[in-house]
Amino acid sequence: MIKVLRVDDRLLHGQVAVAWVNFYKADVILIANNQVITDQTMQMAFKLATPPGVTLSMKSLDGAAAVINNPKHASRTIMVVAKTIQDAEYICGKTEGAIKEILLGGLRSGEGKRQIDMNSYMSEDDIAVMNRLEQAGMAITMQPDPTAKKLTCEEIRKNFNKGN
Amino acid sequence: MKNIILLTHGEFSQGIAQSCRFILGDVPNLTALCITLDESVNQTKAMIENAWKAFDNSAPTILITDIPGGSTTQSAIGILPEHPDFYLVSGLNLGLLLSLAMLELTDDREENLKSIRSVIEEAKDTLVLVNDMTAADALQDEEGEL
Repeated sequence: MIKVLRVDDRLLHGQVAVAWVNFYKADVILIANNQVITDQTMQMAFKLATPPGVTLSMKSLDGAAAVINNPKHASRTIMVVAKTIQDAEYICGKTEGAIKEILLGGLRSGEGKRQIDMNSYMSEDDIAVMNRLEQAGMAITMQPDPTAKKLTCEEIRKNFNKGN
Repeated sequence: MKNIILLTHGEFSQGIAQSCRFILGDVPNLTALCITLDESVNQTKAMIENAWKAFDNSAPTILITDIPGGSTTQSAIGILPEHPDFYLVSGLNLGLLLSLAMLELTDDREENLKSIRSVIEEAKDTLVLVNDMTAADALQDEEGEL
């Protein structure tokens, strides 16, 4: 089953590989990213970051959707990691309700982005995508690590509207 | 629920405790003790004793020292007669600390020793010469295999 889809622009790093994998008791980390399948540096770094006993799977967005749709993996506890909320929407669109929970965090600053949380920034388009996913029934929260304060979509929108 | 006491030469323990919280967020019942050149074994033992008393709970305690061959570990060994229920681990590194911080201990000591042993074995495997790692094999895609 798909436990959660984490949106994090560093993909697999300490907080995700250690804290979140442990929190969700995931036994598969599925990295969904079109760059990772050709980038050997990323592949090696993610291999090193994978905790013992956990299977690492690195796929393109379409490749990740194929894994999610494969009934063979139903007994596994899968944590999907995507780089952007746009990639998350693409995957959700190809996997017919398999993903129910989206966890945002580690979204770095950039052009047109406003601060939402200590280390997370979102653009107007990010918010629009989040709203669409929320309307589609996804449970979406933002939380950097499992002990930090969890923000709801309502709070994310509020912080976006007061930030600049 | 468990208690963790870190005991190192100099301020390593404080730094690594901060690194641990950087990754895991809040870690309750984690205390960092530093020894200087001035502390005697007896003073260090007293530091450990006070740190343990300050936890205010009866949960199992893991005491972690930096290197086996050092006065940190000598002091820690010295406290075992009074605290035979402590789990004493030496060879502190961040991977080991993260795993121990996330480990769930029970009230079965044999069971706990077993799980701490396996965490230590896994931590040994995290020491790698990255240059020796081969490039990843070409990835399969699209077929829905892991």
